[in-house]
Formats: sequence, C-alpha cells, structure tokens
Amino acid sequence: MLPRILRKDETNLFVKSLLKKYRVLGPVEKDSEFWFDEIRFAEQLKFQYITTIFPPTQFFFLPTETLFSYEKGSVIQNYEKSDRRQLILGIHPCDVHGILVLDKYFLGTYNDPYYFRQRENTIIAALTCQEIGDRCFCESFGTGPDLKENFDLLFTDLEDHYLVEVGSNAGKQIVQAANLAQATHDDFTEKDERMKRAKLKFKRKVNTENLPEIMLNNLMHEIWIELDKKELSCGNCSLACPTCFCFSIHDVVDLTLKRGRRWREWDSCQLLEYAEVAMGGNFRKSRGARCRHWMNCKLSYVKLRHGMFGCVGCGRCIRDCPVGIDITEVARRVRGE
Amino acid sequence: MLNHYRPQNAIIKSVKKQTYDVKTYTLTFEKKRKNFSFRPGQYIMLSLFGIGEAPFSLCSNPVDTGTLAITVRNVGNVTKTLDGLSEGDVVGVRGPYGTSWPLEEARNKNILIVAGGIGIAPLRALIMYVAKNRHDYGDIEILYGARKPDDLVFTDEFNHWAEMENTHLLLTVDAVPEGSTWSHNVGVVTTLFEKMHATSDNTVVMTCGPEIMMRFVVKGLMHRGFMDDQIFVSLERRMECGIGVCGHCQLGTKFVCKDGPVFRFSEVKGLPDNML
Repeated sequence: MLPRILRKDETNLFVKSLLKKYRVLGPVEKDSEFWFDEIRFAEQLKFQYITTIFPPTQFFFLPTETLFSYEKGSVIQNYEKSDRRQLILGIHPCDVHGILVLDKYFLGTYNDPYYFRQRENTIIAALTCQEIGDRCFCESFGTGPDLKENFDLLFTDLEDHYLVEVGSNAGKQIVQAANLAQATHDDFTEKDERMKRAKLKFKRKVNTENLPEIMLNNLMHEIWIELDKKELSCGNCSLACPTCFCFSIHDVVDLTLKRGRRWREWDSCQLLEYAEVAMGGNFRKSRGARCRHWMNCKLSYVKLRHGMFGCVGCGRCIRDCPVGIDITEVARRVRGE
Repeated sequence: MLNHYRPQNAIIKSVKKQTYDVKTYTLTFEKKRKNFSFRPGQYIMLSLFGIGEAPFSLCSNPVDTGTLAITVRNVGNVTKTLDGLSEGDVVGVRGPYGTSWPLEEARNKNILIVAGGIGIAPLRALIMYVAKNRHDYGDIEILYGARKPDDLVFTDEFNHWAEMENTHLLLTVDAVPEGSTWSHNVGVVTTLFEKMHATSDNTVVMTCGPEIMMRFVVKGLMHRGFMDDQIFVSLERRMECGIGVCGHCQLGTKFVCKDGPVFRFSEVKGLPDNML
C-alpha cells in the first residue's frame, strides 16, 4: 500500500481514534526518563525520546506470568483468553528487532502459547530514529535507525508531518480508517535525507564481521578474567536488554495447600543460581563465566543459532551497568582492536 | 495451540527401592495417551504440584508404551517429595523431550556403554531396547561403576545383562567400605578400560554419569584411538522448561534440553562452561 502522511496538528486526533479501539502502549515521560506505558490520553505520548528505561519485552514476554492454576493435583485453568487488542506506538527499530529475537525462541520448535497470544495481539507502529544517543550503536548491527520490514506501521518525523509507511493489513486498516492523505515522492526523498544524516551521528560502532566466530575462538581471552573481578552479578543488563528471553518457573500454593499456580518470571544468567544443578553443582559458578556467557549470547550464540545477533545496539546495558561494563568495548577488545 | 507447559497426570504404579537413596518409579498415564513413545536417552519433566518440576531420564523399555519409568536419587526439592509418594499417588508428566542415543548409527556396530552411578538410567533404556533387537547390533560391552557397592542400581538385572548374547559386563566401585563384600574391580570406571574387549574399530560409545567422570572417559578412550565423533555423551544441566526457551540449560550455542541431552562428543567439545 502506498504510504500516507499524518499532519502533526492531527496527531492527537489520530491517537484518540486509536485509543477507542486499542490498548495503546507508547513512550511517556516519568521522572525525566522515558518509559513504555499504557496511554490514557494522546497528550501523554512523547515521540522525542532516545531510549526507554525498559525495553518493550514486558508487553510480549511478561515479567511474571501464570502458566496455569491447579487444584488437588489437577490443572484447572490453562491460560486466559486474549486481552483487548493492543498497539505499541513509537517503538524504535532496535526494539522491534529485539522482538524478532524473542520470536526465534518463543515461536521456535515449540510454540510458547503465552508469548504467542501477546505477539499476535499486538500491532507494531514503529518510529524511525533521527536523534542518536551516546550509547546507541544499532547501525552496526543493521537494526536501525531505519526499519525495512516487520512493522504494521512505520512513522518518520518530517518536521510538520509524519511519513506513515504501511507494512501489513492491520496497518492498512488503520490508515484507511483515519483517512490519511497519500505521501508524495518528496516525503520519501526527505526521509532518505534524514536517515542519511542520522547515520552520521553514531559515535559508537561495533565491527560485526566474523564477530560470532571471533567470540567463540576467544573463550580464554584475558578480558574474561578482568570481568570476573569487575562484574557484580546484579543482572541489570538482563533487565535492560530487549532480547533477554530467560525465565524461571515456580510453584506457589495457597493456605489450603490444595490450590496453587505455576508461574514464571524473568531470570538472568548473571545470577549464581541460574546454572545450578542437583547437589550444588554449578556450571557457571564464577562471575567471569557468567559475564562471558551473557556477552557471547549477544555477540555470538544467537547469531550462530538463528542468523541474527542477540544484540540490537540499543545501549541500555551500557547505561545500566553499575561498574561500566560496555559490550562494544568487550567486542573490540576480544577482536584485538 | 498445544500448551507444552501443562503436564498430564500420571499414576505411580509401583515404587522399587534401588539403593538407600535411589528408587525407580513406574508410571502410567491417568488418561491413556495415544501414541506415547520415546527413544532411549530421552527424558521427561516430572511435575509435583506445589513443589515444582525436574527432568528425569526415562529408564524403562521404550517398546512398552503403557508404562514409563524413571530412576530418581533423593537429592532436591522435587526428589525429596517424590520419595515420600507411593503407589497410587498422582504426579504430572511432560515430554518426552530431547535427543536419544544413536540407535540407527549404532546398527550393526559394537556398543560400548560407560556409566557412572545413577547415570546408568538412560542407558538401561538402551540396554532393554538392544536386548529386544539384539541381532541389529554387534557386541555389547557395559562398563558400570559407582562410588561404593551399595550405590549401584539395577543390581538384580546384572545377571540378565551379562547373559545376553555377546555381551560383556564389567563392574567397579571407587572404594569398598569396611564390612562390604565386593568381588569385582576397585577403582574409577576408567580403570576398566584395561579389562574391556572393545576397540575403536566399528564401535559406538555411549556414556552417562557425572560430567567429571565423562571427561576422563572421553580422554581415556581418545587415548585408546577412539575418535570424538564415535563417542556420545548425555549431559546434565538445569532445565526448567524442557523445550528450549527458558535458557537455563544453555551450553554455548546449544540448549541441552532440546539439542541434547545426548550429544556426539565432537558437537560439544570446546564449548564453554563444561568439564568435558
């Protein structure tokens, strides 16, 4: 479908119409930081942001989630029915790629019904990036600042209006319902110019050539010994990462001891118990081994397994590391630069 | 959509005490599962509502589709609770999951089995399978070791194994405590290599036991001319989902729960965070 334009002075009206139909999620400002949150009114949305505190993972792979409940030793409830259809608005290309990595794990050989339900139920209305943060390096991984596919709608800020590209039927229905005007050739030229300028703004870069193999061939690199002493095993990086998919499963029973539920919550390979087995065995007992696993997962394993990097270059882990561990520096050091 | 996290109820049909801390539980599904089958080497997630789940290798005869059995050592939350259950009690079962021993690749070849302690469990399923299809396989040699004589499991089946056609069983224990009687080898399982008939020629090795044991098994065999692609190892890792998602069992690029637990040694050689 041909792309459309949305005039900025009509944005609030457009969002209002979305709010009638969808649970709208988008970037809002709280305590001078940006977060994805449920939007109640159009004015809450803040499109001028660099990176949100948490990635949008939380809307697809929920931080905690009941798998089923049981009573007297039998499952009584499978999983809940679909929520109201949701739409995530203003999500950046790097975070869209984060969801694509999650897809590889949750929608692989065995479909994860809980993730699938959220994923199917969510319309992705993405926003290209023009302001590049100090910690951003998506361009190195080909995950931004522009997005070529895997969106329902894609917005690009062109000063007094947005260029709205349509990537699916769901997106088509939205722009038709809103009766958005068609874009012109000039809008595209303008977008290209702006994307070119954005690409020049990156300060951080990672050389990804043969990176998965280089990481795998340097398991004994001195950096892992340094990081063993440096890292705190806090797991911040996992909370911040849009591609972290690990979870643990727990049981909880009520006071009757007859009813209970099995639930899961996000977990992190940075925590000591993560790789523990019976009788106190632990395959990643040292913090250095855990840090190496995390870095290799992002820079090597996911790529070797699924053809796409487990890092999308959002820079959140760099921002949130209390001891200043920087994945781009790790990649550089291991490469020998 | 099939929900793989949801276990199916199974009834404990019988409990057999193997050692002071190991029991074999035979289970049967409450609602008959059509086409339930597994291959030796695969495992199930055993579920106890209110306690949790843990993976256990299936140790029963894969040809028997009506029941399944696991051999469990009482060492953690799930296993401790299971230890308190008896005939007629209900548990949850998910699976079977994971890869199996290389039944096709081993066809018409000799099989060398090296097991340590409770690591014999997934190999017992293999032994039972091979016994049923004896003429598809060459010589079988079973090297089985445990810490002490009273840590050996399936002891009442040893005679049967030894009497199987072209089968050689060698037993060992690390140490014999005072008062115990023991007429076989004393020493770690690799000391049996001196006494075995198997050579690297036309042989497939299948080993399961503590990872540190398998490290020396692999080392010893390679020293004897075995190649890294003819040795299969069954690995233990923490598993919470069993279906390649939760991440806990990751071994480098591999998910032990889905890509394993049985691996060709050459596949996992050199991966980080293992003892092999």
